Amino acid sequence: MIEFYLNDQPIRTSEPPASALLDFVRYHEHLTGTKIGCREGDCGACTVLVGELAADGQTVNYQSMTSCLTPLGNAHGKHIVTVEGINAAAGQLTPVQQAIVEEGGSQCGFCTVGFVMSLTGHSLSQKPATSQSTIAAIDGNICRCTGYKSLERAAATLTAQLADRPTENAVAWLSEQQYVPAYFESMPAKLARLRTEAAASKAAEETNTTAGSGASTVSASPSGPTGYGHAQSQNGHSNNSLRHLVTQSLIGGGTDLMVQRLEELREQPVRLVFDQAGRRGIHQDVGRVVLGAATTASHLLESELMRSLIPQLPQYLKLVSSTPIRNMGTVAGNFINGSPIGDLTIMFLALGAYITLADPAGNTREPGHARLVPGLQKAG
Amino acid sequence: MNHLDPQRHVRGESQYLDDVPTQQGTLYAAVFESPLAHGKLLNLDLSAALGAPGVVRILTATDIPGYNQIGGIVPDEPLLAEGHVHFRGQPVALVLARTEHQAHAALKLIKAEIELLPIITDPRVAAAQGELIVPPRTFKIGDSEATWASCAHVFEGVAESGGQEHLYIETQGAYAFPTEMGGVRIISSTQGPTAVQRHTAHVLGLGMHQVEVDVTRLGGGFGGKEDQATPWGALAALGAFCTKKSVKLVLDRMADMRMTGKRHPYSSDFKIGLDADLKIVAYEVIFFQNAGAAADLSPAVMERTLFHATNAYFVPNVTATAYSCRTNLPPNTAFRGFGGPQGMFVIESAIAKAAEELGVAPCEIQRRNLLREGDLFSYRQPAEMCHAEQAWDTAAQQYNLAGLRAEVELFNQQNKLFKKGFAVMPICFGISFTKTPMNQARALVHIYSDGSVGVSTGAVEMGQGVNTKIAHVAARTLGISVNRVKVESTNTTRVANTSPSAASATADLNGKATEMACAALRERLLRHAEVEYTLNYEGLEIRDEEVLAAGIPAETNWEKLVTSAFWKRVCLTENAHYATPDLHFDATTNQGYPFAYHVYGTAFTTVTVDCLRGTYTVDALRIAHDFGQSFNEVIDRGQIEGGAVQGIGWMTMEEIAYNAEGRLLSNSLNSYKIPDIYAAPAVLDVHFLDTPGHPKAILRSKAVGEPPLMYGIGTYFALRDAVRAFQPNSALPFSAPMTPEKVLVSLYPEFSASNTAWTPAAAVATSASS
Repeated sequence: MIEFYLNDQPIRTSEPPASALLDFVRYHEHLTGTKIGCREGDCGACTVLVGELAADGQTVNYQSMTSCLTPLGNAHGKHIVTVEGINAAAGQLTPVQQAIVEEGGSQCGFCTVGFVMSLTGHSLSQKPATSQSTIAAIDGNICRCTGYKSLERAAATLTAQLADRPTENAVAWLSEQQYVPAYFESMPAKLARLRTEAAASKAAEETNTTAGSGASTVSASPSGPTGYGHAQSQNGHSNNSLRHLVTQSLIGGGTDLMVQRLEELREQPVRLVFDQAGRRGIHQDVGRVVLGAATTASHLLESELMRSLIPQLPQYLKLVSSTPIRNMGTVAGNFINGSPIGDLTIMFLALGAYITLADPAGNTREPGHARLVPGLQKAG
Repeated sequence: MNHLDPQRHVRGESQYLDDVPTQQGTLYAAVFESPLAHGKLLNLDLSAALGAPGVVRILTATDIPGYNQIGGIVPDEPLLAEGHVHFRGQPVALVLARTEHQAHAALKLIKAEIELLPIITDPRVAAAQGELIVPPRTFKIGDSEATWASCAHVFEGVAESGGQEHLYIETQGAYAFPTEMGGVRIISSTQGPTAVQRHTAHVLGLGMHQVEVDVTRLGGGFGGKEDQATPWGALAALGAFCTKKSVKLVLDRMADMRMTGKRHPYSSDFKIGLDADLKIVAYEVIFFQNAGAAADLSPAVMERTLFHATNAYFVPNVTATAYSCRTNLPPNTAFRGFGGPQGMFVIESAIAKAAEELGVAPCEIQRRNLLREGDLFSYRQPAEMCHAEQAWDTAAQQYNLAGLRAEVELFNQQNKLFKKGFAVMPICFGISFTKTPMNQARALVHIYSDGSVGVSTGAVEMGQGVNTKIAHVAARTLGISVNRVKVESTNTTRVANTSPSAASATADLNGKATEMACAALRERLLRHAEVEYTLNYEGLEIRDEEVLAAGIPAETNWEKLVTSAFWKRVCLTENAHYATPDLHFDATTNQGYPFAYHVYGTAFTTVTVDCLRGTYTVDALRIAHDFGQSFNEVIDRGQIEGGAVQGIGWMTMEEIAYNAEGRLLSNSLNSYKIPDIYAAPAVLDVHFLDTPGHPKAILRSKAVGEPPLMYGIGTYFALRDAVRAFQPNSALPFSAPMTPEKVLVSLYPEFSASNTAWTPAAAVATSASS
């Protein structure tokens, strides 16, 4: 069962974890503000916000993501926000919406909601808004009409307004300014409760191990310590069988698999690694830096450590796709993809990175990066 | 956009085709396409697909009750392939299933047996083999042939411009419902509701009255939904007609890119002759248009190329010939500019060639040859109310032309690895459908008894703001607040026999019809006021919802006047018809008066090229544009900025690539790049020229849809200028788009076997396989 909040509504669903969040939002929940443009993360028309409870349990960090590439399972435990979740009552416009309307930044309107969500996500960021950061927030949104200059003017208005945003209690201020509805203030507590409940039901499940509870069950926690949460049983018997885990597809951010193999993955049990706490993080070890497999391009970009070691990193990462995709795409996914457009691969090959591979039993090996990717779309 | 549309867009409340609530029992359609670009269709094995879960029916050409034909200008395009296939992606069969997923899954189970026939993708090869869509056309004025000998300078060359994917963010689609009379109702994402209606009726063997087409708005069109929305509307309708169930058909992005045509690529030969004063005295050009496998709108696009072959210049001796060449690619189609940009690119190339050979700046030639009042175009219409020189000179003054050029020069002296380039792009674009009978429109205006107003026209809203303009025209003519006016969906039962929303003429045509209908209603209401309130009709007016008699408020207002008129049985509905006056054009002599008026403007482009990497930025685009008397500057500015950025995309990063088998390699957003926010020029200034507008333009506010696209052409020539600043001897072919790869190769000719060795296909093949 996948549990999350969609706007102000709790969701419990048994839809396949590798189905697209976009389809769930549009065709299951009938929220049609989120549009389909390309289904490959390149146009941004389906951008939603994904809010994750911070470790302190007090705040929710929101990032923009393209819902076409977000596996539904990655929504587990999160706050998913679509335009319907930020609209004010009685047709009132939020400051983001108002700025776009005033500058004529919406022509045919099909891409518009994506821009609204990206800019709203930016307003929820904890970092100070600069003209550069505001534009970067919409670098994954395509407007074919193309109203970029009007949108730049709208972005400038918002940057100016956000100068007044306090660092403490930003959400309260944003809600007061009507950037987001008041229910946002209650989200940390709601997500914390979700987390507690999930942990409880996971514990209950573990005491009940070889239950063989029938097909299509999904383990409750996305962040189990073994890192195989969301393992969906293939035949309903040995849920914890290593053999099955080996044959199950691993999905990181989904930014390529969800483009190439959506239909196939929907029908399969999958293992989601995106949210596993143990697979995230960047830390300095003796003589080297260790990146968790689920570290995203955005994590790299935000890491003081990485930036101090590689001062050119921001310039390079600007060329790596766009903000929402950097928020989703993982280092491991990028490496294992073996694609010539796996942009992180290029940098880490040049850096002579080593990769530690672990099998479900915990055995590891450490091939050099170049050995991992011997050829186009091959992994060693 | 209705005047409140942006408010709904930002809240995600505007309804597009895929947002229409699904009716219970709806079947989902998926199109089986030809896997080969040319061949004899020997057999189609549907058995496995018919047995697939959820599949209800699979329709082929034999299921079509009427005529299997949707060709608009030439009847050469079947709705579903019959006997032969002519391009990859040609619709062959339609799968109808209970879910979208099931419909798509079944496609993989269809087996087509096709005997492969020779594939042509190059228009010059097609022309050499006589594969022409229509006979060639020649526009001629003066005698170029006899002039060459007396020219001081004559230059020849080849210019090539690539295609362009429309990439409307909303893909093509339609939703069809069977009606109780045995007809169909279609919700379509089309710029041409009447085209969908006419062809669907033909396909189903019905009268047009049995087919209703309704359009609320499009998520972008740009010409791509003018004729090419028709197959999807007709296929959905065929499904609904045959199964008596509602049928929804929405193309996914890659199917849309594979199956639909694009802007026409052109390959052209030019010859230009100048006198000693750099006046262009003769110009000859032969255009080879890559039409694709069927006519679609290609003959009309080709014609507009000829109309705009000399852009904003007066040339006394012109011979311009065009061939519409049949190839095995999806039929290419309308795209903002409709052949005009392709024609202009060639004469700008000819001027650049002459300037480079003569060692002068291209703008020295351009400025000297701009159109003046009364100059004749090759089609014999004179330039009237001509603002070509005014646009140039105003821009030169406003933006300091000499200073901009000097800045670029200074920068290039001081920098070795970065070079700036500069170009001027004047434009002249004719407004009207060049097929004269299409220049007509109707408006149906209802005043409801509470004083609110509903307006229906043939205009389709696709982001160009036509509904806002129409609402404004209605409100202004009636003397009421725009908040009382609702612009209705575009529906063939309310307004019939419409022209598509295209040719930049939609606001003019439908706005004029709206103005006429509202003027008639206003007169009728004031006649009623004259009697009802015993007022003198002369001097009666409605202003800000007040009824004024000789400027003094009368004892009634809009609402009361409307209500009293209703009770006195005054008709509160009006239907008006507008046909642009004085237009004529003889397609046998290629002479006449095809355009209501022309739009002028000038753009300055500055770029910077990174000469180590071949990457570049468009630093500034500075435009002086002839809007006439704009009555909505936000919309009009948006059209100029948007059109220009789209034109920059066409000229720089948007590279369509097919392989020799006719397979589209640039088949997704991942391998086909369009401008993102960083690609928009850092500076994009738009100066509104002080021009009177034209009486044939709505409220003297000139058409703005297509003309600005051609400002983008300046970016190509600015990039060329920058490359030449680094590599003065580079033998640069005139070949657009100027991708960073092409720039890099041009910067270092010594590192590439030859400049022409670069093939986009090779590059795209690598990334497409990822």
